Amino acid sequence: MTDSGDEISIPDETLQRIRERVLRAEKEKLNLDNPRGINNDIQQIIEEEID
Amino acid sequence: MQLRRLSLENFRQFRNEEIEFATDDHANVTVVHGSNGSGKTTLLNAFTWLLYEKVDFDTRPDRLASEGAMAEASPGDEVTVSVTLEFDHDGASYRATRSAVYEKRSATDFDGQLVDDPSVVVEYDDGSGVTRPNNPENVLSQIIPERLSELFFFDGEDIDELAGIDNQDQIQEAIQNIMGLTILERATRHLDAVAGRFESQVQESASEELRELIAEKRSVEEEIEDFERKKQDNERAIEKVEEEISDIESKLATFEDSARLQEQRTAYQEDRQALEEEVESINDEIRNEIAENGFVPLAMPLIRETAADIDQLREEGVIPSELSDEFLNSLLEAGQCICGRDLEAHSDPYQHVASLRGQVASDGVEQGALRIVGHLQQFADRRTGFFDEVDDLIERRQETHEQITRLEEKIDDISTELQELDTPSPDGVSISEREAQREDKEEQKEELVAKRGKFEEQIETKQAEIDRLETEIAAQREERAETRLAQRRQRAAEHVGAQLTDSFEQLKDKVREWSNKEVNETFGEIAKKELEAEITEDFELKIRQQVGDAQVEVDKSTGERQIASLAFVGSLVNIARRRYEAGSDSEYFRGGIYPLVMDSPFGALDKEHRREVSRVLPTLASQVVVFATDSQWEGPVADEMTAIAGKQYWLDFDDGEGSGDSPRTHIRVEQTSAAGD
Repeated sequence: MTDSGDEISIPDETLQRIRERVLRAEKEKLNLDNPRGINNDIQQIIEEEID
Repeated sequence: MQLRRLSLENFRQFRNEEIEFATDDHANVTVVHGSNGSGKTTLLNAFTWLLYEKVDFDTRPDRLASEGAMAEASPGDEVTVSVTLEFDHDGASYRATRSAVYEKRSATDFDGQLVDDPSVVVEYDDGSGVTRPNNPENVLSQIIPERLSELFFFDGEDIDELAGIDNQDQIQEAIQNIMGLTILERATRHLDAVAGRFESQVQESASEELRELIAEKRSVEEEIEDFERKKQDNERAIEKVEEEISDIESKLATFEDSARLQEQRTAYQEDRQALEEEVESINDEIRNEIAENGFVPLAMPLIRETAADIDQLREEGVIPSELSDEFLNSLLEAGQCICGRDLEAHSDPYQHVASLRGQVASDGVEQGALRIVGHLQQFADRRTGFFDEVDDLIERRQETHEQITRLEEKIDDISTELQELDTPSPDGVSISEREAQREDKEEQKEELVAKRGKFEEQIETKQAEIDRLETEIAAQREERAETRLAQRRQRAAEHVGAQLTDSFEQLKDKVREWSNKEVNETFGEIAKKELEAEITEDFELKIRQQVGDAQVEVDKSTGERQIASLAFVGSLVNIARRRYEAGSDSEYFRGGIYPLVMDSPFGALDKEHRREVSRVLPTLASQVVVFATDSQWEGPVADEMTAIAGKQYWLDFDDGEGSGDSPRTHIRVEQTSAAGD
């Protein structure tokens, strides 16, 4: 994936919340051999934060 | 994780035994003495079976249930095998039990048949009562991940493999895991995939034009991926051919007839390498010079023209001019100053501007013009200096190229000489044949390197296309709310992904620095003075030796590899512990407390190294469990560890041959017999 352009602005606080939530989700699945469903979880986090 | 107690029930030769671990800060070592075959490795396997349901036995790998228990059972009876570990972790007390039930099928069945798959139960109490989580396997893997288990539960006979040349990945993974890099790497990858999903949503709902642009971009991205894959295959092929060339050259260096020529060639190749590096550095200098002064020759015609114009104006008397007073008058007439202020007649600003008439320092203006002309003419000198400097650099580069050509001719001559040597080498292949093989490989390598260049060029071209498409995509103003929303989400995923990539790169550099420092310090305390351990840029564990002014990589003897590996493991455990104790608030990883459980860790070491390892390891980990034979323990290890051995146990093994019983090991708190070798 590559940059889709800078004309779309998203508040820093939203990005920070997404970052924290994504890392938390990753941490929960860190030690599983197969972190199933992590992409769905991340997609949901972003959809919740940007609606 | 702090180990408290391990209990075994019918696990191999242990019928009903337990070990309590030393937990005192000043006496943190638990020693289990046992001769070979008495059950030391079985104890190590008890940990891995409990935590990950993994065992690695040399003998009778399928037999988990105690032979004695099976012998005593009647056909149809069930025998339960279990391992229980009690430990503390993050302020809570844990009790984890894995059990398996075996059914005895006949009077002569001593293995039994598994009734149900082994299951694990975890209970913990953090002060608010006992909790039994529904996902016990996950709970355990969070506490001590299987991927890291080889670092914390290891067989001393295998540990030297960590410092082997092929284990770079294992080392890199271990470091990344311990230090929290894995989480960043994964998050970046997953965000990339999710950004792709949002991009698909954009594409589905967008205008025809935007849809086509995205489709085009994706197709170019696929082409780039394809080139990247090909490039990686090509890199591997280059590495392989380089290894083959190096193998052939090593052989040529060992044969009497070719040794001198091969040594000479190696020396020439090293010289060539140095000269090629010099060419690179000259190229850098040329680039810098052009970046700094390259504009001068380009701007020179304009500079000359400007200087001449100003000078001519001065000579013609236009500078200084009489326009100044006229200009001031025009301002007073217009009633407005150049600063925008109103110039009302007789007002202060009006009087001020009027008073400037006739006072312009005409002489100063003329001097100024002369100075400007002077400055502009200095560019001419800079221009000459620039050309001289670049000419010098180009000349130096040319000379270096000529030296390289001469060396290449010498290298070719050596190859010709070698190809004329028909003497068979000890392994039956003649030197000339060997050299011909080498020549072939060199040609292959050249072709591969040329191909790599083409791939790089293609990737660069495609990347430029992506940049163009992205600019066009960004310029599209989509009206549909659905598309806008998907675009915002895609942008958020990309943005956070980019942030995490930056964090990953920064942390990776730091981690390498920390682990390098730590490993080197630990290794330095244990190994010989002239040796140094290093974690390279590629996270490879290397041992180097100082020879004169140069550092040479040493062939690792088993002892040195083992020391390096122990230093490496100990250092990581120490870094993780310090990070944890410092209460790191990192969002990636806050470290952890890990015990070191080691089976025969001193096997391949000489006495002095055993002493040093015994002294250093207990200072790195919060808890150390050592399984050792008497011969491994006695002497320096006992000298260093006895005082800090909070608990000691002896494995009392009875093979049952005299009594007709089944083999069985008791764990005693006092020595009853020698633990031999």
